[in-house]
Amino acid sequence: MDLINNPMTAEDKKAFFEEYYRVQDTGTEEDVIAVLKKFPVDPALALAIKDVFGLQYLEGFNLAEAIEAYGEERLKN
Amino acid sequence: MAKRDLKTEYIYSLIGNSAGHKGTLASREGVLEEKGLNRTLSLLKQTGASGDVDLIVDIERVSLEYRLNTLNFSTAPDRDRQEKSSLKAGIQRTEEAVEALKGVRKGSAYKTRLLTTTRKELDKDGLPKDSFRTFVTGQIASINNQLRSSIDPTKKDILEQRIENLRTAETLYKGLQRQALSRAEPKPMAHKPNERCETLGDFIQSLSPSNRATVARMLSERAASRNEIIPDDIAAKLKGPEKGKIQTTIPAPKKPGDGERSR
Repeated sequence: MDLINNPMTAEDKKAFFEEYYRVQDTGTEEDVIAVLKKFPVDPALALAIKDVFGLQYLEGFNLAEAIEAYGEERLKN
Repeated sequence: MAKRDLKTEYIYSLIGNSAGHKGTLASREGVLEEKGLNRTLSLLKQTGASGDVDLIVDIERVSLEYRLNTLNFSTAPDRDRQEKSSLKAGIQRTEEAVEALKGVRKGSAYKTRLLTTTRKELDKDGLPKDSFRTFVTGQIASINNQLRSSIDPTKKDILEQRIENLRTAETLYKGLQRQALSRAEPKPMAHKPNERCETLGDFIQSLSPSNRATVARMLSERAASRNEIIPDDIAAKLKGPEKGKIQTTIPAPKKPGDGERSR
C-alpha cells in the first residue's frame, strides 16, 4: 500500500477547514469522509491505528505528518 | 457505496475527532467536537451490543496506544513518566488479553492449563481469573480514575460506555471459558451475591450445593459441641433440593450420662 504524503501549509489547512465545515453542514457522511481524507492524520493516532488494527485502515488518508514523525518504514512494518 | 463495518466506522470517528480538534474556527470546534463525540458514543454502544469481544479489546488498546504516542511527543518527560508507565502496563495487559482469547478458543489446551491453576486463581464459579480477567479489572480501574477528573458530560458517557463494554466482554469471555472447560452455565441463585440475607434459612438457600454442604458440616459440628439441636426447618434447608446427596448429621440431644465411660 502506498502511503499518501501530502504535507499541508497553514493556508492549506485553513482552506481545508472551510471545506470541512461546509460538508459537515450540507454534505453526506461520505462527503465528510472524502474531505477528511485530505487532512493529515495526527501522527500519534495514525501509529496507534496502524499498530492495533493494521495499516489498511489508513488507506486513502493523508499520512504526511505521521511519515514525518515516524518515517515510512515504521508505518509500513 | 458499500456499508462500512463497525471497526472502520470507529476508526474514522477517531480520525474525525482528532482533526476536529485542529479546526481554525473556535466557534465551530465545540459543535463539531460534540457531534463527533456523540458519534463515537453511539459506535461504542453498537460495539457493546454486537458482542464483538475482540473489537472491545482493540478499542481499549488503541486508546492506550494513542495516549502513549501523544505523550512520547511531550516536552515534559518527567511530568508524564508515571502516566507513561501506567499506559505501558495497560498495553501489556491488552496484549495478554488478546493471547488469552486465542487460548480459550483452542479449548483443550485451555483445559490443560487449568491443571496448573491454584484454587486462589479461580472465581466463585470455578473459572480461572486469567490474564483476560485481569485486563478487564485493570482497565475498568484505570477508566474509573479518569472519571474522577473533571470532564465534560459526553466524554464521561464515553468512558462509562467503555466500562459497560468491558463488563460485556468479561461476561462473554466467561462463556468461552465455560465452553473450553465444558462447564454448564451457573443456575440463577435464590439471592444476589451481595444481597443481605435476613434469616439463616435465606442464607443457606442462597448457597451453592458445595458451600451448603460445608455450612451443614460446620453447623452440625457446632451443634454437637454445644449440645444443641438444629431446628427442623434449617436442617431441611441444609439438605437442600438435592436431598440425600448432602450429608448432614443432625445430632440428637445428649442425655445425662451420655459420653461417660461405663465402669
